[in-house]
Amino acid sequence: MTTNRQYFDPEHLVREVRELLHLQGIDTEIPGDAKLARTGASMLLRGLGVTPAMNGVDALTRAIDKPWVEADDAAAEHREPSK
Amino acid sequence: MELIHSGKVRDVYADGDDLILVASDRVSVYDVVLPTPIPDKGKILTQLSLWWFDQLADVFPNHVINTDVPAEWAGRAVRCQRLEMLPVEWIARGYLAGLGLQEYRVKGTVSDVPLPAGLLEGSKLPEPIFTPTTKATAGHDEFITFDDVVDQIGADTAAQLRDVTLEIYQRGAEIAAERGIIIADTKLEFGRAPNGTLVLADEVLTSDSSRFWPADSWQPGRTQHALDKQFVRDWSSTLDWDRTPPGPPIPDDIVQATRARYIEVYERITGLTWKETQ
Repeated sequence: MTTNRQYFDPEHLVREVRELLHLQGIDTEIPGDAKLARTGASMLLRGLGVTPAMNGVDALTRAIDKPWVEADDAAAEHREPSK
Repeated sequence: MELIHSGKVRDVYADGDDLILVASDRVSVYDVVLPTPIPDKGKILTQLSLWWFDQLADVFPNHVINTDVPAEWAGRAVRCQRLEMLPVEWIARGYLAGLGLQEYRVKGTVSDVPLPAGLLEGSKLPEPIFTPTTKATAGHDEFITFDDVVDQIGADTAAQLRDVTLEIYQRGAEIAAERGIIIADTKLEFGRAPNGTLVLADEVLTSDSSRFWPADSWQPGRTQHALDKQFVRDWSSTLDWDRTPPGPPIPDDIVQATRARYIEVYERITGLTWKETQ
Protein backbone atom coordinates (compact mmCIF):
# COMPACT_ATOMS: atom_id res chain seq x y z
CA MET A 1 0.00 0.00 0.00
CA THR A 2 1.36 3.42 -0.87
CA THR A 3 0.61 6.54 1.07
CA ASN A 4 0.57 10.17 0.08
CA ARG A 5 2.81 11.07 2.96
CA GLN A 6 4.64 14.39 2.55
CA TYR A 7 8.00 15.03 4.18
CA PHE A 8 9.99 18.11 5.09
CA ASP A 9 13.25 18.54 6.99
CA PRO A 10 12.60 20.50 10.21
CA GLU A 11 16.13 21.90 10.15
CA HIS A 12 15.47 23.20 6.66
CA LEU A 13 12.24 24.78 7.90
CA VAL A 14 14.15 26.57 10.66
CA ARG A 15 16.53 28.00 8.05
CA GLU A 16 13.65 29.06 5.82
CA VAL A 17 11.83 30.77 8.70
CA ARG A 18 14.97 32.61 9.78
CA GLU A 19 15.43 33.82 6.23
CA LEU A 20 11.81 34.93 6.08
CA LEU A 21 12.15 36.83 9.33
CA HIS A 22 15.37 38.41 8.12
CA LEU A 23 13.55 39.70 5.07
CA GLN A 24 11.03 41.24 7.48
CA GLY A 25 13.86 43.02 9.28
CA ILE A 26 13.95 40.60 12.19
CA ASP A 27 17.31 39.11 13.03
CA THR A 28 17.11 35.80 14.81
CA GLU A 29 19.54 33.78 16.84
CA ILE A 30 19.47 30.27 18.18
CA PRO A 31 20.57 30.30 21.79
CA GLY A 32 22.62 27.31 22.89
CA ASP A 33 21.61 24.21 21.00
CA ALA A 34 18.93 24.33 18.35
CA LYS A 35 16.67 21.87 20.14
CA LEU A 36 13.78 24.26 20.81
CA ALA A 37 13.68 25.63 17.28
CA ARG A 38 13.98 22.18 15.74
CA THR A 39 11.28 20.69 17.96
CA GLY A 40 9.05 23.66 17.21
CA ALA A 41 9.60 23.20 13.49
CA SER A 42 8.72 19.52 13.75
CA MET A 43 5.53 20.33 15.65
CA LEU A 44 4.55 22.93 13.06
CA LEU A 45 5.06 20.43 10.26
CA ARG A 46 3.02 17.79 12.07
CA GLY A 47 0.31 20.36 12.68
CA LEU A 48 0.20 20.92 8.93
CA GLY A 49 -0.02 17.23 8.17
CA VAL A 50 3.57 16.99 6.99
CA THR A 51 5.93 14.35 8.36
CA PRO A 52 9.17 15.78 9.79
CA ALA A 53 12.00 13.83 8.18
CA MET A 54 15.45 14.33 6.79
CA ASN A 55 16.43 13.52 3.26
CA GLY A 56 17.92 10.05 3.43
CA VAL A 57 21.10 11.07 1.69
CA ASP A 58 21.65 14.02 4.02
CA ALA A 59 21.13 11.78 7.02
CA LEU A 60 23.51 9.14 5.74
CA THR A 61 26.05 11.78 4.83
CA ARG A 62 26.07 12.92 8.41
CA ALA A 63 26.36 9.36 9.69
CA ILE A 64 29.28 8.48 7.45
CA ASP A 65 31.12 11.71 8.11
CA LYS A 66 31.76 10.73 11.68
CA PRO A 67 31.45 7.33 13.36
CA TRP A 68 28.93 7.70 16.19
CA VAL A 69 31.31 6.66 18.97
CA GLU A 70 33.68 9.46 18.01
CA ALA A 71 30.80 11.92 17.64
CA ASP A 72 29.56 11.02 21.13
CA ASP A 73 33.04 11.44 22.62
CA ALA A 74 33.48 14.75 20.79
CA ALA A 75 30.11 16.01 22.05
CA ALA A 76 31.11 15.10 25.61
CA GLU A 77 34.43 16.90 25.26
CA HIS A 78 32.66 19.92 23.78
CA ARG A 79 30.34 20.09 26.79
CA GLU A 80 32.98 19.59 29.51
CA PRO A 81 32.24 22.33 32.09
CA SER A 82 35.91 23.25 32.30
CA LYS A 83 36.04 24.03 28.58
CA MET B 1 26.68 4.92 -10.21
CA GLU B 2 27.05 8.35 -8.69
CA LEU B 3 29.28 9.14 -5.73
CA ILE B 4 27.11 11.25 -3.47
CA HIS B 5 29.42 11.64 -0.54
CA SER B 6 32.73 10.38 0.74
CA GLY B 7 32.81 10.38 4.52
CA LYS B 8 35.53 9.66 7.02
CA VAL B 9 35.23 5.91 6.86
CA ARG B 10 32.39 5.18 4.43
CA ASP B 11 31.15 6.37 1.03
CA VAL B 12 27.61 6.55 -0.31
CA TYR B 13 26.64 6.10 -3.95
CA ALA B 14 23.32 6.40 -5.75
CA ASP B 15 22.24 3.75 -8.23
CA GLY B 16 18.82 4.72 -9.52
CA ASP B 17 16.43 4.62 -6.59
CA ASP B 18 18.87 2.64 -4.48
CA LEU B 19 21.74 3.78 -2.31
CA ILE B 20 24.95 1.83 -1.97
CA LEU B 21 26.89 2.15 1.25
CA VAL B 22 30.56 1.31 0.83
CA ALA B 23 32.71 0.82 3.91
CA SER B 24 36.35 1.74 3.38
CA ASP B 25 39.42 0.51 5.21
CA ARG B 26 40.08 4.00 6.50
CA VAL B 27 40.44 4.33 10.25
CA SER B 28 40.11 7.44 12.37
CA VAL B 29 41.21 8.27 15.88
CA TYR B 30 40.38 11.43 17.77
CA ASP B 31 38.21 12.40 14.81
CA VAL B 32 41.17 12.37 12.39
CA VAL B 33 41.43 9.89 9.52
CA LEU B 34 44.86 8.30 9.49
CA PRO B 35 46.70 7.89 6.16
CA THR B 36 47.21 4.15 6.57
CA PRO B 37 44.23 1.86 5.97
CA ILE B 38 43.50 -1.25 8.01
CA PRO B 39 43.16 -3.96 5.33
CA ASP B 40 39.66 -5.50 5.22
CA LYS B 41 38.25 -3.29 7.99
CA GLY B 42 35.43 -2.16 5.69
CA LYS B 43 34.59 -5.72 4.71
CA ILE B 44 34.66 -6.95 8.28
CA LEU B 45 32.35 -4.21 9.59
CA THR B 46 29.99 -4.63 6.62
CA GLN B 47 29.76 -8.38 7.18
CA LEU B 48 29.24 -7.85 10.90
CA SER B 49 26.45 -5.37 10.25
CA LEU B 50 24.80 -7.75 7.76
CA TRP B 51 25.03 -10.55 10.31
CA TRP B 52 23.32 -8.35 12.89
CA PHE B 53 20.61 -7.36 10.42
CA ASP B 54 19.90 -11.08 9.94
CA GLN B 55 19.84 -11.72 13.67
CA LEU B 56 17.45 -8.83 14.19
CA ALA B 57 15.17 -9.48 11.23
CA ASP B 58 12.42 -10.70 13.55
CA VAL B 59 12.67 -7.53 15.64
CA PHE B 60 12.32 -4.92 12.92
CA PRO B 61 12.55 -4.59 9.11
CA ASN B 62 15.74 -3.05 7.72
CA HIS B 63 16.83 -1.09 4.70
CA VAL B 64 19.05 -3.75 3.14
CA ILE B 65 17.98 -4.79 -0.36
CA ASN B 66 20.89 -7.08 -1.17
CA THR B 67 24.66 -7.14 -1.66
CA ASP B 68 24.45 -6.95 -5.45
CA VAL B 69 27.17 -4.34 -5.98
CA PRO B 70 30.06 -3.81 -8.41
CA ALA B 71 32.80 -6.41 -8.04
CA GLU B 72 35.37 -3.96 -6.68
CA TRP B 73 33.14 -3.39 -3.64
CA ALA B 74 32.26 -7.03 -3.06
CA GLY B 75 31.98 -7.76 0.63
CA ARG B 76 32.24 -4.16 1.73
CA ALA B 77 29.06 -2.65 0.27
CA VAL B 78 25.34 -2.94 0.81
CA ARG B 79 22.55 -1.95 -1.55
CA CYS B 80 19.89 -0.14 0.48
CA GLN B 81 16.50 1.46 0.16
CA ARG B 82 16.43 5.24 -0.08
CA LEU B 83 14.49 6.42 2.96
CA GLU B 84 13.20 9.59 4.54
CA MET B 85 15.03 9.59 7.84
CA LEU B 86 13.55 10.47 11.20
CA PRO B 87 15.36 13.51 12.65
CA VAL B 88 16.47 11.71 15.83
CA GLU B 89 19.47 9.58 16.79
CA TRP B 90 18.09 6.52 18.59
CA ILE B 91 20.55 5.63 21.31
CA ALA B 92 20.47 2.97 23.99
CA ARG B 93 23.02 2.95 26.79
CA GLY B 94 23.75 0.10 29.18
CA TYR B 95 26.95 1.62 30.60
CA LEU B 96 28.18 5.13 31.37
CA ALA B 97 30.52 6.59 28.75
CA GLY B 98 30.93 9.53 26.42
CA LEU B 99 28.17 12.12 26.41
CA GLY B 100 26.12 10.03 28.84
CA LEU B 101 28.91 10.12 31.40
CA GLN B 102 29.39 13.86 30.93
CA GLU B 103 25.71 14.60 31.49
CA TYR B 104 25.49 12.26 34.48
CA ARG B 105 28.42 14.01 36.15
CA VAL B 106 26.73 17.38 35.73
CA LYS B 107 23.06 16.53 36.33
CA GLY B 108 22.83 12.98 37.67
CA THR B 109 20.63 12.13 34.71
CA VAL B 110 21.00 11.19 31.06
CA SER B 111 18.32 12.50 28.69
CA ASP B 112 16.38 13.32 31.87
CA VAL B 113 16.45 9.66 32.92
CA PRO B 114 17.44 9.73 36.62
CA LEU B 115 20.29 7.42 37.58
CA PRO B 116 21.55 6.30 41.00
CA ALA B 117 24.30 8.33 42.67
CA GLY B 118 27.85 7.03 42.77
CA LEU B 119 28.16 5.62 39.28
CA LEU B 120 31.62 5.77 37.72
CA GLU B 121 32.97 6.00 34.20
CA GLY B 122 32.17 2.66 32.63
CA SER B 123 29.64 1.64 35.30
CA LYS B 124 26.86 -0.69 34.26
CA LEU B 125 23.47 0.99 34.53
CA PRO B 126 20.69 -0.65 36.54
CA GLU B 127 18.94 -1.24 33.21
CA PRO B 128 19.49 -0.01 29.66
CA ILE B 129 18.12 3.46 29.04
CA PHE B 130 16.92 5.28 25.95
CA THR B 131 18.92 8.48 25.42
CA PRO B 132 17.99 10.10 22.11
CA THR B 133 19.92 13.01 20.66
CA THR B 134 19.33 15.59 18.01
CA LYS B 135 20.25 14.73 14.48
CA ALA B 136 21.59 17.94 13.06
CA THR B 137 23.65 18.31 9.91
CA ALA B 138 26.11 20.53 11.76
CA GLY B 139 27.35 20.92 15.31
CA HIS B 140 27.53 18.46 18.16
CA ASP B 141 24.84 16.04 19.25
CA GLU B 142 22.63 17.24 22.09
CA PHE B 143 20.48 15.09 24.32
CA ILE B 144 16.77 15.40 23.94
CA THR B 145 14.17 13.80 26.15
CA PHE B 146 11.63 11.20 25.21
CA ASP B 147 8.99 13.95 25.45
CA ASP B 148 10.98 15.96 22.88
CA VAL B 149 10.89 12.95 20.56
CA VAL B 150 7.13 12.70 21.07
CA ASP B 151 6.79 16.36 20.12
CA GLN B 152 8.92 15.86 17.03
CA ILE B 153 7.48 12.69 15.54
CA GLY B 154 4.35 11.81 17.49
CA ALA B 155 3.65 9.62 20.51
CA ASP B 156 2.99 6.31 18.77
CA THR B 157 6.10 6.34 16.57
CA ALA B 158 8.26 7.63 19.41
CA ALA B 159 7.14 4.86 21.78
CA GLN B 160 7.45 2.17 19.14
CA LEU B 161 10.99 3.12 18.13
CA ARG B 162 12.12 3.68 21.72
CA ASP B 163 11.04 0.13 22.51
CA VAL B 164 12.67 -1.25 19.36
CA THR B 165 15.91 0.62 20.13
CA LEU B 166 16.07 -0.90 23.59
CA GLU B 167 15.15 -4.35 22.30
CA ILE B 168 17.85 -4.29 19.63
CA TYR B 169 20.43 -3.10 22.14
CA GLN B 170 19.46 -5.73 24.68
CA ARG B 171 19.40 -8.51 22.09
CA GLY B 172 22.83 -7.46 20.80
CA ALA B 173 24.32 -6.95 24.24
CA GLU B 174 23.18 -10.38 25.39
CA ILE B 175 24.63 -12.13 22.34
CA ALA B 176 27.92 -10.25 22.68
CA ALA B 177 28.11 -10.85 26.43
CA GLU B 178 27.96 -14.61 25.86
CA ARG B 179 31.11 -14.15 23.76
CA GLY B 180 33.00 -11.99 26.27
CA ILE B 181 32.23 -8.63 24.69
CA ILE B 182 30.43 -5.74 26.33
CA ILE B 183 28.36 -3.58 24.02
CA ALA B 184 28.19 -0.50 26.20
CA ASP B 185 25.82 1.48 24.02
CA THR B 186 24.65 1.83 20.47
CA LYS B 187 23.18 4.33 18.04
CA LEU B 188 20.48 3.38 15.56
CA GLU B 189 18.81 5.21 12.71
CA PHE B 190 15.29 4.76 11.45
CA GLY B 191 13.57 6.00 8.35
CA ARG B 192 10.39 5.59 6.37
CA ALA B 193 10.20 3.67 3.14
CA PRO B 194 8.18 5.19 0.28
CA ASN B 195 5.11 3.24 1.44
CA GLY B 196 5.42 4.79 4.91
CA THR B 197 6.79 1.70 6.62
CA LEU B 198 9.29 2.34 9.39
CA VAL B 199 12.66 0.74 8.66
CA LEU B 200 15.95 0.26 10.51
CA ALA B 201 18.68 2.00 8.50
CA ASP B 202 22.42 2.66 8.20
CA GLU B 203 24.61 0.12 10.02
CA VAL B 204 23.80 -1.79 13.16
CA LEU B 205 25.89 -2.86 16.16
CA THR B 206 29.30 -2.30 14.61
CA SER B 207 32.18 -0.79 16.52
CA ASP B 208 31.66 2.50 14.66
CA SER B 209 28.10 2.76 15.95
CA SER B 210 28.58 1.12 19.36
CA ARG B 211 31.19 0.95 22.11
CA PHE B 212 32.70 -2.54 22.25
CA TRP B 213 34.68 -3.34 25.39
CA PRO B 214 36.45 -6.57 26.35
CA ALA B 215 34.51 -8.03 29.27
CA ASP B 216 37.60 -9.53 30.89
CA SER B 217 39.26 -6.15 31.41
CA TRP B 218 36.15 -4.09 32.17
CA GLN B 219 36.76 -2.00 35.24
CA PRO B 220 34.50 0.91 36.21
CA GLY B 221 36.29 4.06 37.26
CA ARG B 222 38.56 4.45 34.25
CA THR B 223 38.35 4.84 30.52
CA GLN B 224 37.56 1.42 29.07
CA HIS B 225 39.60 -0.23 26.34
CA ALA B 226 38.07 -0.11 22.88
CA LEU B 227 38.07 -3.69 21.72
CA ASP B 228 39.25 -3.12 18.18
CA LYS B 229 40.85 0.31 17.93
CA GLN B 230 42.84 0.21 21.16
CA PHE B 231 46.14 -0.66 19.48
CA VAL B 232 45.83 2.42 17.29
CA ARG B 233 44.77 4.61 20.20
CA ASP B 234 47.58 3.38 22.44
CA TRP B 235 50.16 3.83 19.70
CA SER B 236 48.90 7.31 18.76
CA SER B 237 48.95 8.41 22.39
CA THR B 238 52.71 7.80 22.47
CA LEU B 239 53.30 10.23 19.61
CA ASP B 240 54.12 13.90 19.64
CA TRP B 241 50.98 14.60 17.63
CA ASP B 242 48.44 17.31 18.39
CA ARG B 243 45.52 15.16 17.20
CA THR B 244 44.79 17.44 14.26
CA PRO B 245 45.09 16.51 10.57
CA PRO B 246 47.15 15.20 8.97
CA GLY B 247 47.38 12.10 11.10
CA PRO B 248 50.56 10.05 11.28
CA PRO B 249 51.07 6.86 9.24
CA ILE B 250 50.42 3.71 11.24
CA PRO B 251 53.35 1.28 11.62
CA ASP B 252 52.83 -2.13 10.05
CA ASP B 253 52.79 -4.05 13.32
CA ILE B 254 49.97 -1.83 14.62
CA VAL B 255 48.10 -2.26 11.33
CA GLN B 256 48.36 -6.04 11.53
CA ALA B 257 47.43 -6.20 15.20
CA THR B 258 44.42 -3.96 14.62
CA ARG B 259 43.29 -5.99 11.63
CA ALA B 260 43.59 -9.17 13.68
CA ARG B 261 41.50 -7.58 16.40
CA TYR B 262 38.73 -6.58 13.97
CA ILE B 263 38.66 -10.17 12.72
CA GLU B 264 38.61 -11.48 16.28
CA VAL B 265 35.63 -9.30 17.14
CA TYR B 266 33.79 -10.49 14.02
CA GLU B 267 34.53 -14.14 14.76
CA ARG B 268 33.68 -13.92 18.46
CA ILE B 269 30.37 -12.19 17.89
CA THR B 270 29.18 -14.16 14.87
CA GLY B 271 30.74 -17.51 15.72
CA LEU B 272 31.87 -17.64 12.08
CA THR B 273 35.39 -17.92 10.70
CA TRP B 274 36.64 -14.93 8.74
CA LYS B 275 37.76 -16.07 5.30
CA GLU B 276 40.66 -14.10 3.89
CA THR B 277 38.95 -14.09 0.49
CA GLN B 278 35.65 -12.90 1.97
